[in-house]
Amino acid sequence: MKKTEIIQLSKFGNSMGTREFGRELREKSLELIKNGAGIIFDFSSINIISSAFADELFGKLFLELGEEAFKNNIRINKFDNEETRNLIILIINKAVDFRKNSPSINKP
Amino acid sequence: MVIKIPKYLTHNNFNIILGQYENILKEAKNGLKELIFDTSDTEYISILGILLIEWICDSVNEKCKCLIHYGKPKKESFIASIMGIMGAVKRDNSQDIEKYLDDFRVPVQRCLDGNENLKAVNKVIHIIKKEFNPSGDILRALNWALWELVDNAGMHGYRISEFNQNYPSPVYFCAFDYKESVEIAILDSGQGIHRSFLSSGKKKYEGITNAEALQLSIRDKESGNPEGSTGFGLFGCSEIAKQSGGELVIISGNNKIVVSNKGAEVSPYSNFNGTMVSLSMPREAIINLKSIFGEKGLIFDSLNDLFGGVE
Repeated sequence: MKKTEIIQLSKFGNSMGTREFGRELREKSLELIKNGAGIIFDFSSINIISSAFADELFGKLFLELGEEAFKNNIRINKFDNEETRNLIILIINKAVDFRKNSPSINKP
Repeated sequence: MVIKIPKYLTHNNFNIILGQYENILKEAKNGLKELIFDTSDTEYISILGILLIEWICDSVNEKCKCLIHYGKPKKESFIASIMGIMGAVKRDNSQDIEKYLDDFRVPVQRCLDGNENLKAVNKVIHIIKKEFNPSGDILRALNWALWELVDNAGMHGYRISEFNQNYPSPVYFCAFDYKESVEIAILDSGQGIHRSFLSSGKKKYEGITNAEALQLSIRDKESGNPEGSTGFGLFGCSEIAKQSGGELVIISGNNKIVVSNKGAEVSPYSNFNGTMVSLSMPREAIINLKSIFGEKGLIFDSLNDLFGGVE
């Protein structure tokens, strides 16, 4: 069984939006993964996340870790309901997709 | 100095106020003693108008400590409660206004950084949920849009402040519950959309006009950059406006763009060195946010096994 750290997002509010907070969580996550832990993001009581937050946390984690390490170390769970889960997953997917498939954003 | 506020102040006639802005600042620098926003004939101010006036008040207060008040708003009228959320109670010390405060649930928020944004957006959403009682679809759309717009405003506002630490550019936002629709509005006095595109360093944006920049801003991923922006916020908001039968208004530089289910229309405007955005939607609208985000790339479908258990 992999060593696991749970990050309960609702401790910080019911919706996650700021880029700064996404960055903060990404740095924390990278540190934990470096020390051998897998991360579970607990989405209980979270209604929505912004694209900026999703990009800073999940999009850039994907970019920094690479697809394999990302899949091996990142988990999400405990959504309040299926509707919220589906929507938040779409926002995260959009962010990951943005970093994965839009190399043109880095080019002039 | 007296600024006459028209009977109806909406994005269709902010020119009346913006056209006097430079003069107001000039007077403030020269030690203006009193600034009156004369609302004696005013019956309606949109929430974007409220943010505009609040921003002007703060700009004046940075230059001088003059007395600012709102003339004599009509008692028992709509405007009185609007004055309440504008902070007129504090400025005017008027009991007549104070009693209308309950009519409006979301006062103007001023935020200077991400931490303040985090608290303020959650506070606003909490009030909207409790007092406006919108449908789940509308609440989710408002919540998501507010985050996108506040983040955009913060990002571009702070960029200016990096060059001038003495004058950080706050983000102003508030929300309003009409009888048949809900609306959020955001204002920042940062670099504006046009300069944001020009400063991106991308060759394809060299020489674009302000009007073109506004049109590009509502296209998916167009304004994305490696430092942060996904370029999805304004696109998503424009899709919400179209889908819900509402309206997205963006004023930046010397243009305005209005997006609705009839399309997007750009028109000339008085210059505003920042960005103002309002998004309104009918209370009964059905919004499918999922269709805006698309369905592809379900990377997280494989990420639910919790590593085979939790240690």
